[in-house]
Amino acid sequence: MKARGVAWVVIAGVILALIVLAFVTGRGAGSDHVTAQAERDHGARVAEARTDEQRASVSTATIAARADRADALSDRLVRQTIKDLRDAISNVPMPVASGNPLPSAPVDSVRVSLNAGIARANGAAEPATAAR
Amino acid sequence: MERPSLPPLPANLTKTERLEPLTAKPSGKLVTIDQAIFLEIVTRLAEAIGAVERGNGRAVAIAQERECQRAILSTGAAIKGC
Repeated sequence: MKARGVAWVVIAGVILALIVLAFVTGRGAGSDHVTAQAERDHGARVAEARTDEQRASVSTATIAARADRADALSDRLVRQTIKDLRDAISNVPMPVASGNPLPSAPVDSVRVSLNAGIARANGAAEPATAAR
Repeated sequence: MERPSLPPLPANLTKTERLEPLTAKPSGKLVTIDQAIFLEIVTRLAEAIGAVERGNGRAVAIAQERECQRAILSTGAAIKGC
């Protein structure tokens, strides 16, 4: 009677041990699987993010280069405008004698030059113009 | 896959400036001005107009740059003009 009791206890213990073993190993395998999947997902996301960063920096460099060209063109045009103004204003003939009437300043050509600059400045405010 | 998104730039940060053209008609009231003084005033005005042109260009470029970044981050593809 006592021997049968001990046998039952041993069997129950073995069954319990098997259940615990199955639980532990199964959980380990499951978590390995999930970890591997997460690592693959993470890798894909990082690769995608790096591609996006690359694209973004190329795009920024393109836009910066475009702005540089627009700056340089504006500089050239302003220098040309100033040269034209200087020529127009300096070339006004001075009166030979002090009694003669003073000459008029070349206001029309000055206005035309400055208005061309104003039109360019306003044009630079349009996105379509800047995209050229 | 879920993608990150950049906020759009507030429009006031890339606002451009507009200049009025010169339109005054002669009034017939004449004053004299020294040639060098007139030349300097006109030169500085031309430079200021040029500065507005470049500033406008930069504002437009910054707005465009942000839109390009937004498009690339949220879709993975650059939009036209980027």
